[in-house]
Amino acid sequence: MLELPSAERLTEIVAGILADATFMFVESAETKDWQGTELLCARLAMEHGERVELMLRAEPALGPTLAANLLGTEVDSEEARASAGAALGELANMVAGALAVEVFGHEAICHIGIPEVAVESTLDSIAALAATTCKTIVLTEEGHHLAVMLCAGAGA
Amino acid sequence: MSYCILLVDDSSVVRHMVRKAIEMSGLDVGRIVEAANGNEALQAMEESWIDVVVADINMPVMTGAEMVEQMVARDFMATTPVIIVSSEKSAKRIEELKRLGVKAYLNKPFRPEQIKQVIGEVLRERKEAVHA
Repeated sequence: MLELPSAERLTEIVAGILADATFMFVESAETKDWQGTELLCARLAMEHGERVELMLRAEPALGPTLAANLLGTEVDSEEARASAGAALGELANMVAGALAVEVFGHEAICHIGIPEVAVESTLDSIAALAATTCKTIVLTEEGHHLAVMLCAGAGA
Repeated sequence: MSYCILLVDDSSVVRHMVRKAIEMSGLDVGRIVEAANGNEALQAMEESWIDVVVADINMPVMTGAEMVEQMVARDFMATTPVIIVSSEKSAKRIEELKRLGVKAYLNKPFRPEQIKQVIGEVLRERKEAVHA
């Protein structure tokens, strides 16, 4: 079984990428009760013999903020709203690139998939992850929450 | 002489980010063409002169590495320099891409000045090679 990075290391990686790419400075948050909330989700798989799945789940308001910061535009612009999903997908891609070398090593040529972005309910996501080993962290930026889940195992 | 740059990435957000970095760079760029995968990029190169290609690796339809292999096999594209901009950090992957003929590799997230520096260097080499 692959060894996943610790929650502290996962936080360090995601926070570093958010700061470098979007100038967003996040801090760790308590697990949030998202029951019944629709979330913007980006997921992708990394494979090198074994498979690891990364999921980012963001409160919908975080999407346009991410997009605006990546694109250098205003958060309430049409462009930022339209690019919210693509921005979360790109964040997942950047995080996956950093995690792939943490999980599989610098010498491995691992396959990183293309991010799939969708609006999902919390319950759907939890059901999909029932059979896996996961590390989960929750981050917050000015009250907007982002959950990062890294899963390995039979169901990943 | 203004240069023509081809941006190849399936993410419209990344194409926008790279385009903006190039436009702000002060490089003498006349035209920026966009493609969403390697196949579209090859078509764009068949249709017009491209001075440098800035491409992602993981794309649907045709990856960046497959695109570079196709370019090498086509005489008129074989010397067009390719810069890969990707989140992948594997040393072996970067080595493999350079062996295929990729000129430079830039990790995401990148700073606009890094894009300027890498494209500037590749264009300078390209100009010297054309005039040699």
